[in-house]
Amino acid sequence: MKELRRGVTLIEILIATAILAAVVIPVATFIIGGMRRTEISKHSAIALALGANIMDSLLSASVPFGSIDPKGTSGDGGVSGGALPKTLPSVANKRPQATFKNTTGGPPAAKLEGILNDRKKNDTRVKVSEEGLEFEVFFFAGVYADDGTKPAIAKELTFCYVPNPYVPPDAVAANHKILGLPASPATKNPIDKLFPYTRVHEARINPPTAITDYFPGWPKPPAGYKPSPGQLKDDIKKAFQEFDTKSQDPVFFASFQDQRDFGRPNGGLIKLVLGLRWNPNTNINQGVGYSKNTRELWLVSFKGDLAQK
Amino acid sequence: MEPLRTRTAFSRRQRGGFAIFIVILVSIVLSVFAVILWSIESGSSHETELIIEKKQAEYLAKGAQQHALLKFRYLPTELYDAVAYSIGKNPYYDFGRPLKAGGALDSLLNPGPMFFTGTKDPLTNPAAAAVPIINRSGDNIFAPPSGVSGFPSSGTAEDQMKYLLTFYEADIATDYPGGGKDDSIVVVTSEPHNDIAMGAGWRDPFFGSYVVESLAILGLTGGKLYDKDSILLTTRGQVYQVFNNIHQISLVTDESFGATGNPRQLTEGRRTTSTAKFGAHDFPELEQSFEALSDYQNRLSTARTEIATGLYSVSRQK
Repeated sequence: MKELRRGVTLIEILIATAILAAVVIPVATFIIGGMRRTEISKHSAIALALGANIMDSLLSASVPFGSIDPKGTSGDGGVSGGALPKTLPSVANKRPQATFKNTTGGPPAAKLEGILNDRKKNDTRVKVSEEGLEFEVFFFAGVYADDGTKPAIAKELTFCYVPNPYVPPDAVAANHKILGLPASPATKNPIDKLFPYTRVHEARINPPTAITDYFPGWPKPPAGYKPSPGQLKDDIKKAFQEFDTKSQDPVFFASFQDQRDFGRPNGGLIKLVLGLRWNPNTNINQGVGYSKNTRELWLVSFKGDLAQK
Repeated sequence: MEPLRTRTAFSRRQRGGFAIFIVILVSIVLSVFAVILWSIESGSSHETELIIEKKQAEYLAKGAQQHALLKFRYLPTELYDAVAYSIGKNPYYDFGRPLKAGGALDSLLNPGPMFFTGTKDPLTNPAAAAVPIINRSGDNIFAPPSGVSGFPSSGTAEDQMKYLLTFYEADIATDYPGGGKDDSIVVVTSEPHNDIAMGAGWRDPFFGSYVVESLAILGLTGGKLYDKDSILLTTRGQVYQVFNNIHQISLVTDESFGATGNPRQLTEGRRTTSTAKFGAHDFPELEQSFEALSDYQNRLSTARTEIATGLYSVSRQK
């Protein structure tokens, strides 16, 4: 006898479809969400790599210190700060972006601009990654310029150091000739108290007559400088003085060099602020505005003027 | 015909409902797969944000290297003297003159390559045989002048030998000299401030800092040169997502994604975690939970730190 073969009933199909729908729809949501997160992470990683490349180029010797125009007035690179997007009004009142300028013996500004800009547009900077993703680039810079002819430690970048004084070697006779102080070593004269840890013996046996005899390497005093012992003492004290900003008490043993002394009135250190902005769902070129999907990455660093002079 | 009806009935019961069983099995597999995928993607996006913060700290540390190099370029002799003192090396040592040829006087005129070695002060004890100023491993011998700020008043002699170096390193840092945004030169903060470099009302994208971690001389024992040496500079950069309620911000995008309002905050939101488990009736479930507020605040206020190192040659040039 033939065996009866039964198929699937309509009820089974309906129940199975309902179960499948109840499971697949959320699963599809999870999968789509996961793919979107992957895309966001991928864009972030690409942005980070691109930003790091740009910042490394800016810090390298291939971008001379003098080629960066912090105020963006130079249009040598084909763009000017006035045309590029500026900061928000609440951030330094719409500070313009920095640009590059041509310098003698340096690379062309147009070539340097290529570090930040692939599209050659002058109203925004756009870099395109190897994957074809677009990122808007923002570059701000500022120099720590010299404030005046004298070091102003609260207003400008200065270099602090402790000079290396020494005690004249006339110690066999225990006759400290600095400052015209008493000779006896037993009195523990103030020179010991001033410089107990920094005495270096130098082969000078002539009595010192100028401040530079005491402190090798110091700038030469003005012509005609012949201080009395008392004045010399005060001058040494003044030269060594740094004022504690809180107590206004003098801090001995510290001196400050001004950038102007190094031939850097325009400053030797520059702050670099680099930003990248992108939208994972679209490209800038398509003219789509930024939305809640917009992501940003910001890096800050500093560049010193290390070129030989 | 009893056996036929029995077999038919049995066959029908065997084959009924098999489609439902298969669908349920497939659904379980898909659910587990989706949960695994979700969990992996959650982890990788968190890692990307952490890497970004560490990269921000890395570039601050590199900026510190540039700041230090600038100072090394203009004050090389002071740097050499400072590092020499820190290890008790006499920066003025003259190889061309014999030691102690002239007796006690000569030992003072040219005390030898190492002068932080003994315990006797030659100025108070000229007959002392050793050439000595400080016992490097001993306690402080000379009392520092009183009332002088910045001068080390305690610690071992070795600590005090480093005070030239301490002063040299002190201003290769953010937040110097004052310690705050209003009385320091190099500052990195997203609070509005008068930035010496960027102008009034400037805001950096985040709060960060850099400092010299260490400046160590690398000469080998017995093999030190006496007019130049190698130093290892280590600088540290730190960045915060949030510091004292100061968030990371955009400089060009406002809260409404325009260009006129308050800066948009870029701080990461609270994380969600998804875990799979078997729930009612042994069906797989996806349980989502938000990061605890205290954990979130703690994570945002944790500093991300990176180190940069550089090896440089330094010599006495005056």
